[in-house]
Amino acid sequence: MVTADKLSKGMTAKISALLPSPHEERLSAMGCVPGTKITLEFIAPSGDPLAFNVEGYLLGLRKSEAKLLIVEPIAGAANG
Amino acid sequence: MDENIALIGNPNCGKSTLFNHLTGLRQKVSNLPGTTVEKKYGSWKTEKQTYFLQDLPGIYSLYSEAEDEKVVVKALLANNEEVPKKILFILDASNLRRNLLLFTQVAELKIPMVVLLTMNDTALKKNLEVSTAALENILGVPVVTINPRKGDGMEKIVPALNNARVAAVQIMGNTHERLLAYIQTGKRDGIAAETLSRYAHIEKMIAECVIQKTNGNRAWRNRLDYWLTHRIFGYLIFAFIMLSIFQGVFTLAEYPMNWIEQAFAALSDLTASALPAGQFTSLLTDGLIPGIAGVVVFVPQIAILFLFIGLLEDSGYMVRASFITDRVMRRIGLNGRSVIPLISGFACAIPSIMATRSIKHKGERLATMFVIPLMSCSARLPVYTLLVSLAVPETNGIGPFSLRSLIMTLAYFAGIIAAMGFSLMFKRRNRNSEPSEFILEMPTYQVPRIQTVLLQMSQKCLSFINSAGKVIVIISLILWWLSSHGPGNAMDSAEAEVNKTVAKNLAITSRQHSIALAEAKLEASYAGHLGKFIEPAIKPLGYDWKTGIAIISSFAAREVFVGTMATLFRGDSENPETIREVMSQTRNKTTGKPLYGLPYALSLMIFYAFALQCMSTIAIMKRETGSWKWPIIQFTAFLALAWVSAWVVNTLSLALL
Repeated sequence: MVTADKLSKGMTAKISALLPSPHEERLSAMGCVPGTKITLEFIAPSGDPLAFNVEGYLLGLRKSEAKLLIVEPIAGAANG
Repeated sequence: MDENIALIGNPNCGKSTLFNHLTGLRQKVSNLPGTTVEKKYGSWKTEKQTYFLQDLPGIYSLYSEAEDEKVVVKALLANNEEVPKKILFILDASNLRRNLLLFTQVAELKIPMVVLLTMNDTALKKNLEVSTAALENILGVPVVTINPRKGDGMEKIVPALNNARVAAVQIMGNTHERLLAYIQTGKRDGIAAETLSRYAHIEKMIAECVIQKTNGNRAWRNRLDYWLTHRIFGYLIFAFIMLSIFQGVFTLAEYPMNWIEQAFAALSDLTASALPAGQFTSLLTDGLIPGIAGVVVFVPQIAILFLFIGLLEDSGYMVRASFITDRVMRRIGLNGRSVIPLISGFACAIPSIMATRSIKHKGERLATMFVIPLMSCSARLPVYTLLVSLAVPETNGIGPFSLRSLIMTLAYFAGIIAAMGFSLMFKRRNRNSEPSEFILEMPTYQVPRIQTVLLQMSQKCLSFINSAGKVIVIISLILWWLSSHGPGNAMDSAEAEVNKTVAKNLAITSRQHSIALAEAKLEASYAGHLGKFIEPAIKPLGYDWKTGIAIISSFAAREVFVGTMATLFRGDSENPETIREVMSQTRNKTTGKPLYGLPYALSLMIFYAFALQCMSTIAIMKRETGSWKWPIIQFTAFLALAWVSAWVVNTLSLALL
């Protein structure tokens, strides 16, 4: 099981599930729902938080929040 | 009554730009009765009629937790004429899916709507083309494309508004009842599932109206973020920007401030020479005019600071600042979102405390509000400037830095360090509360819109003049009366006493005479008695009774210090001197050393850095936290810290220097 915080910079993945947490509603309202493609674009200088491209916009998430997104990395999509 | 229209949309969709474009300067910010949330209203004049336009805060979902977001739901569910008759829904074409989530929620409230499609240029860059006709068909409401930044498509809004309809898209039933229940109970059961089923519908809608030319998801990408979030350069750039802002505020504000000071001194002179000497003239030249000057002189600093903050916010950099500082902020018990209010705290604590409303976590928000007054606000700047110029010769320096600016920087750092200490205490308190979160959209960089930034700046300056101005003018009038009147005939006998001494000593110049006279009169006045009364409490800190008067009057607002010193050290009104000169000539009667020397200045600076001497801040803390508890704790804790630190600084510097 891969979670979004494990992606490396520039990698694209598809969200397959959201783990239950108090942030679930907020994340889904922001577009992080199963089926959404996300790309890890930037990492803060201290390594946390992370900035994902979520279908066209940048979303800043802490590592602990990215851990709630179960993803399937998409092979070959890194430079898409 | 004008037709009530609401603007609703996601954050960063161009809503506020549109609002500014439609209303121009005919807008006002007000606080909703009974809540702490600001609401923007404006009147929008078209050829045929005038509309009453409400700019509601940008939100992602009607089920929001933050205070500033809940206002949207409350406005939509209002049970009176406050509820909008029609809605202008702003839909960001480049983020259609996320924007449609909010649309489907609002649509079910059955208020006639129009969709304004923005950000088409950004969508095209991402190789997305939205078919307006298809979208109109699916949503069942008029759709027009506009570009608020360029003012394109504005003429299409009114005709569309006349055709506003209740949307055809109705995914869930009973939305009105469910939202009411949510607002009343706060129960969040089933919301995540509801969002999922909405998204399932939205996917189908998008498939029908969006033409994706290529899979160009990452075609757009901002190189700026590479550098601004870089491991090393990210922090360097952040530090550089912050330093430049402060440097800018100091140097740029200096000129207009000098002009204002000179203009008011000239006005005071003019009044004194034009009117016959007496109580009323004295009230004007020694009370009212210096009082107003004390307020107006700050406006350049506040304006410049808000200008810079506005530019950073509007360009999208402030969100990056939150992003790169989140981890550090979290360590000391705050949130990345705290960084914007904290930085604004260097301008003025009042708008900054209000800006914390975007922090969802209640504990983190409280911690941020609590420490904001420790950021040296622009009201402290003139106090620091006066004290440092009093005690430190201009020529002294270490390397390229002048000793004056080094000491000023230390005062700022003292505040920051104290703020870290207090927020760590809150971290322990927050340990077992709701989980902290960051989840934050980072808007695309854009060239700041000058109109928006200037408008915001002038609104902030006006509200400062309004709130601080009244207090300062009233305090300076009270102070004038207290310092020019005394119990019984104490004032007259003090005057006679000085004149007797002077008559014996022919070497005394007329200027020394008038200074001695003013001092003796002040000592005999009510203000003098008040100062003497608290002198025992501040003597260990190295202050005299005159400083005591200034400190007491500063508890209304810090900036009163300079005005008070001006009133207290006034010399001969025909021969006006700046406070600085008179103060530096004052000697300790026993030692003959300057009374207001370096230890005095340092100790007083640290006192002002920590003490919560601002009635407006206390009032806003009471309003935002809903009780007197926190403002009282804050006031007491900061006063204790200020007293102890001032004592330590005074004792140490007396021993060492």
